[in-house]
Amino acid sequence: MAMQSQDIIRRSATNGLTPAPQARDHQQEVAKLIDVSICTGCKGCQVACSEWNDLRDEVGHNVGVYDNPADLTAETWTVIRFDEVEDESGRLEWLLRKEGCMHCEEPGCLKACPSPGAIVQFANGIVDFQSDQCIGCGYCIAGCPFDVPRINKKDNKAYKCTLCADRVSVGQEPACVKTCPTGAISFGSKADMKDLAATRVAELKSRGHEGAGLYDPQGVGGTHVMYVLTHADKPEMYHRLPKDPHISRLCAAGKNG
Amino acid sequence: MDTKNLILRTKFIDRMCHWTMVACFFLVAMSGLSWFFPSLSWMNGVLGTPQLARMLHPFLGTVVFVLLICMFFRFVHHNMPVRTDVTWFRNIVDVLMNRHTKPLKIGKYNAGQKILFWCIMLLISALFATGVVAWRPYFAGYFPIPAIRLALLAHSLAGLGLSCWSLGISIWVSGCAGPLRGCSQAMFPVHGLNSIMTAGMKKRLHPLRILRQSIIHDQRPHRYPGTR
Repeated sequence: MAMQSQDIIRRSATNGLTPAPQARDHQQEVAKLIDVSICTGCKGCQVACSEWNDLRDEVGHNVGVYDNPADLTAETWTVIRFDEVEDESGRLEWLLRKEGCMHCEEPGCLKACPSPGAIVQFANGIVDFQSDQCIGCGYCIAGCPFDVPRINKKDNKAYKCTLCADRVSVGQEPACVKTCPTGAISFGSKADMKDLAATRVAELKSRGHEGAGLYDPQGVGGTHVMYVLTHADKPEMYHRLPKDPHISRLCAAGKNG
Repeated sequence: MDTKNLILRTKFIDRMCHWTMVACFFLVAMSGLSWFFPSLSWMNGVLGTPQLARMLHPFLGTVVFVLLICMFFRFVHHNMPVRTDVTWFRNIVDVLMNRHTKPLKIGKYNAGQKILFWCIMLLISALFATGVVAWRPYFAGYFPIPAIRLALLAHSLAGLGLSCWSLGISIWVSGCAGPLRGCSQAMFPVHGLNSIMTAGMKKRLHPLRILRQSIIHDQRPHRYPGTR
């Protein structure tokens, strides 16, 4: 989302000698907290995302699971993942996770991007693609530890969730947060969201979910989209959410600086 | 100019093939290096806007590869290792010092040039293979992300290696290296006569070819002494 911005703390393919405009970087770090234990999988967030961001993805096909569309695309920036798992006692459990960009503190996409200024990180932590600068090389896809960015076949540009940077910049919450009917998605300062998560995790533990915890992976310096997971000890159960994501060393070496 | 004692070393078609490849490689290398060293991002300006450069880079790279394959089939028989290559390696110091005292029994290409030939074949083939794996939007989607990461790293290293290699070799061959100065003339495209060498140069640099040619074409007036 191209916006005139003077609060950029990181800019792709740019070294520290020529920093991005950051006169207005006195901002709180923000975060979105997704509590998977409250999510009902209604997909309201998907609709709100498409509506606010003017995305009109093609109507897909039923591929035998509830995930719809079947995957993230350049025009679908968030998808609810449905995973059926069986615990040791044979009890069936349905795990839901709202998949999308995690807005890493140390973004692999930005690190890999060879086009100056095509990916930026704002002072509030949002990682955003400046699509008019994108050259369509797909390095961000290789750099992302979460397999999030997608190249659009129509214009050969990469797209992903912007954390509604345009809404957040004028003091509103992202569209998915605004619309979530169960309150599974919260938005605020990162510190507040961690406090809220601690309360929720304590509550889940008191209800017998021993493995409950906050997903804020430190391998990428923490993320600005966090999850409260009922099985935080086994995040892979939630549609291959990586246990210890980090920027691939191969990728970091494949582009100098 | 007296052309009686001049010998055609490289045919016009081969020189055109080589120089078209070099021109394309220059453009591909400039744009490729601009993405490896983002501070040099101006270098992709040789292909227009950054977006256009990204789009053209793999196509031009494919042209380089295709021309290389043509060159491979036309030159591979001159570049097969033979036992006399060992002689060249044994006398490497003399070669580098431009002292042509001992007969080195070299055919069209000496052992160093053969190594150059095979290294370039290897590097450009590796660049093509890894480039296809990373080529968006056409092919990358068929490969898993870890494979693309590996391909991008290998592509960077091979590209960097080949750029340094070809830059170094070009400077060396065209300027500093007495024993190889003839190489640049052999491929130089501007003037037809530059692809030729004098009989004396040939005697000094390619004695075995003279021997073979004089046996096959017996019309040659004399045999050079010191070649067997």
